[in-house]
Amino acid sequence: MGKRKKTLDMRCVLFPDDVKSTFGKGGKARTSTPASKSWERCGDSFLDSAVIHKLQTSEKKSRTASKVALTGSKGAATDEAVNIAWSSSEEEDSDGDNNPPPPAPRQPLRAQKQRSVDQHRSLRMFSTGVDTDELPTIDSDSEIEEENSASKEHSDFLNPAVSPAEISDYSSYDCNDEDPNESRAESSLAADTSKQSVSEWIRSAQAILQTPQKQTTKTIKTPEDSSKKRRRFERGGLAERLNRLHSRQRSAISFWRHQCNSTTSAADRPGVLTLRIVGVREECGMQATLCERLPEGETCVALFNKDTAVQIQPVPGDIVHIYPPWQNLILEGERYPIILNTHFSQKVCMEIKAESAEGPKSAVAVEKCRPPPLTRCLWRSETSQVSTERSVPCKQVVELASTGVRKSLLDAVEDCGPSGSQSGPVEVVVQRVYCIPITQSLHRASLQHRALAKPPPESAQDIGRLCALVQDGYGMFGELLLQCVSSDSEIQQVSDELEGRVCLLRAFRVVQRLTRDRCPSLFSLIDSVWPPPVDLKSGDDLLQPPSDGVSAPNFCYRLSVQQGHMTVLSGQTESAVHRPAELQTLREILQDESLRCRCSFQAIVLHKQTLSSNESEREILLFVTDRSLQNESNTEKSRSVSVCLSSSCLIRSSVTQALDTQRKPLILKFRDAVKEHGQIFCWEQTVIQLEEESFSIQWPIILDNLNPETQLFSLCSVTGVIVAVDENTAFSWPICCRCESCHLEIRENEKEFLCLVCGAVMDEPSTKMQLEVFLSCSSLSHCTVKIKLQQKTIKSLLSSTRSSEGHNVEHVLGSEIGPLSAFVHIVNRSQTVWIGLEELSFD
Amino acid sequence: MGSSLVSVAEQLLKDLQRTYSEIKQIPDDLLIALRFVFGPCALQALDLVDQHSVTCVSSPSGRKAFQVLGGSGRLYTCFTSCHYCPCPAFSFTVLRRNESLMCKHLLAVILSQAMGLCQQEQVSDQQMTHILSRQPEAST
Repeated sequence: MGKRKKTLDMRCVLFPDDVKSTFGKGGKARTSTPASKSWERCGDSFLDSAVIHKLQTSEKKSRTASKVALTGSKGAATDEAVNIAWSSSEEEDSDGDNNPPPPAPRQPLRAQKQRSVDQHRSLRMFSTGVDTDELPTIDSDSEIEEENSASKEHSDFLNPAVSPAEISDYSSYDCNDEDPNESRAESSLAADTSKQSVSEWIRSAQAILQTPQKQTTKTIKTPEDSSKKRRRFERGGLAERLNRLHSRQRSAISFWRHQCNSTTSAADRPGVLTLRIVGVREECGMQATLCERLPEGETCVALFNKDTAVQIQPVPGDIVHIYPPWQNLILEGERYPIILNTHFSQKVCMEIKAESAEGPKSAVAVEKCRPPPLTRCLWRSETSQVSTERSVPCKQVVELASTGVRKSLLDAVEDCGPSGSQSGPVEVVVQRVYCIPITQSLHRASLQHRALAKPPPESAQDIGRLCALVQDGYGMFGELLLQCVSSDSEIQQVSDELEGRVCLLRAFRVVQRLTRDRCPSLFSLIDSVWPPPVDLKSGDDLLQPPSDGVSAPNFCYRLSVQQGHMTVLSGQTESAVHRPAELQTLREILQDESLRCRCSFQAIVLHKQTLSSNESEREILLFVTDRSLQNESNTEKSRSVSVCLSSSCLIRSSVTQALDTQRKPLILKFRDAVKEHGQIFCWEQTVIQLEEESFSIQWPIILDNLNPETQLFSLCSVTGVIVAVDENTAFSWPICCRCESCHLEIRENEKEFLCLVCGAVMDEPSTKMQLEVFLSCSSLSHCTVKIKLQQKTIKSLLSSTRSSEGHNVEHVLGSEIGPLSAFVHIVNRSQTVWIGLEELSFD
Repeated sequence: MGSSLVSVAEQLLKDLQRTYSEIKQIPDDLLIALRFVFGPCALQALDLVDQHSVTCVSSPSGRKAFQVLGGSGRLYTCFTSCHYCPCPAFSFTVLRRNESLMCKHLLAVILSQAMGLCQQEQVSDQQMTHILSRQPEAST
């Protein structure tokens, strides 16, 4: 330190300003040792003077350095010159400011930002006690004032009248300076130095010496000053303090970084955080990284400001060391603790490819967090402070308390994010379970592909895909696509297991967001289970008042769930939120005025009519009735109803079998069928099940009488008189007695018939007949009614007219038949009414 | 998902208010934390606070607004109910680039409120109307 002081003294003597300007003008090389030695000799003489000694002891870092009391004597002795030079340079050094020595003796104070970097460096060399980091930063008010005054004096004082060569002589003195930044090189100036005589030096010094102009003008902080980089803060104010703290911190950071590059980091030093980055997100200029603390493994969020982020470039998978001081903040309402003040961070490069990255690394695309809404003030006055505290999301707290299982489907869906990753677990109630045909599920699987999910493998025997309509505690619905099934029993098993229960959805993927417009069928089902029988939870986990006025949601999500990811939560028999399907009578259903509603009922199947057997367009009409319609008192409604089974509805094989074999009586239970515009449909959410004899009906079945309003594809009862016979379609042919097959062969003896199908031999085969007759009905006038008769009716009709030659048409005419149950399969109302019927038998 | 930075900022402001009400001074660590969370505008905001640039303007109707005398001498009006400042720095840095939580004026308003250093001013309802409707006014 003493040595440095000595150096300073020497510099003072040697018009440091000139020397500085030399450096400022391009960093002239310092002279070599021989020259400096010569200079030192020169300088030594001054050192001996008492004045200099006295000055040596003064504080270097003196902000409150008094203004220079310069004497005006021009012809000062060297002592005086030394005196003056010393004081001014001292101030200059302490202030750390410099103005380029103006060419004219009295230069007004230059704007401070004209200071060049070189001058800074030179200043650093000269300024021994001042913090180097203070130089480029905004200085305090007082400092600047003194700098101004000092530099003003300085500029006046030191007139660079000396030649550069002379100045360089003086610069050789700096070889003793300890500042490592300065480089020294040999130059020919050494030679020049020797030529320089002391007298010349004195003369030049004197030329520079003059009474410095006391700086009176202060730069007033004018309104336009806000654009200036340097600000003068209020002394003792918060800004000044922060400025000081921040500069100190900045210098510490840069020093640390410099040190880090040279030394190897020791991860096991106490206080050093080791984090593995899991995710990076940008939040309002800072980078928030989700990290795992190693080796404990707990998750936290580390915030890095812009500078640090640029330095370490966090990327998922990186390991980062954070050196103290850092701060750990645990906030209520935040899931993880937050690490702040992460200035001293260092990335540990693990992969080779990270090292090979050269040049400026391209900015890794980081997800930007949605900016906070403008309606959310970060600070509220006292009155509303209370409300802010109350509105801390309790939902999150409650959720965390219960082992991390979400109660809200919407939250879980949001967690999936746009990338379609898996999310869960969520607690839901299963309202309905149904199965969609495999052809339909293929379409949905294609959507799944889009959602980056692997659809479950479908084997050849799969008949359908199970789906479930679920609802969470807040009322939100979701349609789950579960596993594929290959048998009826599987469907039944899963339905029994899940329906009405509270289940845990461990993992799911979002396939689609559905809206009411796009999926009217699903939403008609949702409407049928709305409103829920118990109060739902609102966002604050408070029970809402009964949601009578609240309408059902207009959107829901279709989610895909892999097998095994949905489990029933034990301990629950049936959830209170579950709203099972209510069975109604057909009469009630028909009386319902709504345009579209879901209905569930049990009914006897009277007749099945296949309208189109095309697999994809399969449409089957089932004619059903129940006791309510068969009841005597039912006069306004029809006696039978047709139910249309669309291709989207999966019909279980047991039902199909029962329908095909025409087992009588066949009772089916329809759940969640749709009644639209008076017609009942079975869509994909409808479940049809076989019902054992749950009710009996009085036979014979009563049907509506045929009347002019009889609709196509309906059942009716007809009575009439035969007026004509369609001879073109009148056939009779032999059939096997046993199997009723028409593949008969006459044996050789022409006496016996052999059935090719079953091998029976018979003498007299049975006869099958087909006869279509025209009727005249009293209820219908001016109507042509044609009916295709059943076997039994034909037989009874013809038996009365049997003759040996066969059957005579005339004998049939005029007979009255009926009441017959018939299916109206043609209605032609173009010119005259033409109705075609098919007789049905229900026995 | 919420922003953790916003939560940290809220907590910091609460702590600041509590500490200042107790010891009438802001400790160094809170100052540095302000700089960390709010970025470069923290220093300028503190400067505005030092100079008592924030005025809470209230009218007989009960309306309140905050007026900040910016460095350039311009008066910026901020409100109690929303997070907005008409200065160009806010429009650019906060709204457009989303690089900062707020501008120096807003932070100055918040800090002045937290520390109770707002100047109070009573104006008539008509003047308040002018202020709220952002009619051009004399800036100083």
